[in-house]
Amino acid sequence: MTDPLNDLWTSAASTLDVDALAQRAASSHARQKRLFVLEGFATAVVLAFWGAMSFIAATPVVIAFGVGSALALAAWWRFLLRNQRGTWSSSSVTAAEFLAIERKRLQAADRHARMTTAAVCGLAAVLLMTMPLLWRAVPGYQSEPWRLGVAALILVAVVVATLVQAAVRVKRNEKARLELEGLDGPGWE
Amino acid sequence: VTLEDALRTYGPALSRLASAYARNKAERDDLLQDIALALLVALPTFRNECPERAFVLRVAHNRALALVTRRRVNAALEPLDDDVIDATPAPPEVAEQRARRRALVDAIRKLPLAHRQAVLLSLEGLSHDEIGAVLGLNANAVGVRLHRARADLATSMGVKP
Repeated sequence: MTDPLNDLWTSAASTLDVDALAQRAASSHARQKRLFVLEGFATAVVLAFWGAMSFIAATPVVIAFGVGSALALAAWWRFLLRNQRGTWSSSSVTAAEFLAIERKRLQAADRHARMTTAAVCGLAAVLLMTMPLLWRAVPGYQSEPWRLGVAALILVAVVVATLVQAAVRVKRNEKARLELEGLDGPGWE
Repeated sequence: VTLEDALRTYGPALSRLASAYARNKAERDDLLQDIALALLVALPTFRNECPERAFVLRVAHNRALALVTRRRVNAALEPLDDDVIDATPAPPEVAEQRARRRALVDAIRKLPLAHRQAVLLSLEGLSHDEIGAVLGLNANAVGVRLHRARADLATSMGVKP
């Protein structure tokens, strides 16, 4: 770079309040740590509850809820830890390595959006298909059919919201890819 | 190296870097905060494998990249307030220099990311090897990228490369 531009650039005065910035960073870091501990504690409580329930009332439903909770929490912690690792541990790697991490993150985000959408739509389809059975099996529903209509509308709304959210996420990921295009040469997808 | 030491030594460079990536003042402040937090976590892991300045700028650039890729709102590129550069009253020659500096910042903010990274590090006075250490490129690749970036910048600024 030509010297005049360097001089021009580095002559910019800084209005950075170092002490305030360092203090905010320290308190933000402490808050993150507290939140992490709190989430760990909440996870332990939920797992202990379902563990105890499975032991006391060992019915298939309770055990299924227990296993479901454990799987959901495991997925949540995996997400938290990956996010944490992606945010902080990757901060000091080279830009090329950071780019590889970002690429994986975007792929995972796409996959997650697709899987969530498929799961919600599948569940909604199953529920919608079983509604006629419910209609016949539960006497109360026959006298108040609007309940079934409301339930169907809610399901459709959930499906539409999930589809819109997935579309927004995929579009945002695509935008991020375009932003990063060129940093990694022709190999970047 | 403590966070305070790093911010005192490299604060002006970090501030300039944030100005080159942020779209507005609020985003610049958020980015600086994020960089400070990342430095707080990363500095204890610094083992002198590269110059300290390269390490700090590497962390800062990575946070800036994260900002770019995670930006939820496609905010318009706003001119940054004068206080980012300098807001104190000044004689005409200083005012003219400020105007040129503002033009330089604006031109840098419009560069593609790859060129922006290379130009920013070069403007901070890093050698090709140091830029390579930050970006994970060899010196030749840095030279090529910098050459193109310099040409882009010169065109935007209306000066000879």
